[in-house]
Amino acid sequence: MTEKVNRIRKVSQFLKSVFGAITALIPVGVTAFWLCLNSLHQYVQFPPFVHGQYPLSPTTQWLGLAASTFSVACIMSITWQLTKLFSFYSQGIIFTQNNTRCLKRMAFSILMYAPISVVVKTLITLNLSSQTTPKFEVSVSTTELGYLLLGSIVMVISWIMEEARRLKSDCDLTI
Amino acid sequence: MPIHIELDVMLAKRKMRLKSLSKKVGITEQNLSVLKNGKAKAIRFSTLALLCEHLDCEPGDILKYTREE
Repeated sequence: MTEKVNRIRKVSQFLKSVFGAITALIPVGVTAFWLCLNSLHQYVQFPPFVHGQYPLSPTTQWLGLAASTFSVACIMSITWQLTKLFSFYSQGIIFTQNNTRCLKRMAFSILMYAPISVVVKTLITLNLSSQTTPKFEVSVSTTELGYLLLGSIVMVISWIMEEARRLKSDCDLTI
Repeated sequence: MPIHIELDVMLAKRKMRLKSLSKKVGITEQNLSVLKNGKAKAIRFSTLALLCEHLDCEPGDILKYTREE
């Protein structure tokens, strides 16, 4: 059992660092993306909703960044909860209320990300098309359904971990 | 909880300390303290047997049932 817990601790330590770095880099990356979009669009294939009349004006770039903050905040919430969860696991804290709380918050953030990403894509399309003919387009794809499914799965996992916590508590109080 | 643990009563009768009982039984003092303070949710038969052996008593001397009204 100790060997398995040590394995959990080792891998969790690594994953904690990975998700911590991702949490820090996301806002930097998204900001850099919007500010460098005028030079990047020639070399990189972007999704359809990012297509616009290049070069973009600074106002368009800043508005695009502002619209992206909603989805960035959501994603950062998810990666932050993952960082906290793996931080607990790296300390050998596996079945506690704090862990289930992380999972529940993560599930909620993933579920919220589905409608937020639809709204953000609509705002970005509107913003990027504002320089020519403004285009109001609401697109819902299987990706959003995927987020809803994933969020539901993580929510169920949080309920199962809550049961596991209760069982461990009973086991700990069995003398 | 209608089941009460009267471990402290038996310890007093046998003039034994919790620390020495924990060493004899092979359970940590902390766990025995959880049992003594009524915070335990369950007790293993093996633990109960060891307690009865070292306190020279019956399970009924340690476990008391009080009907809740």
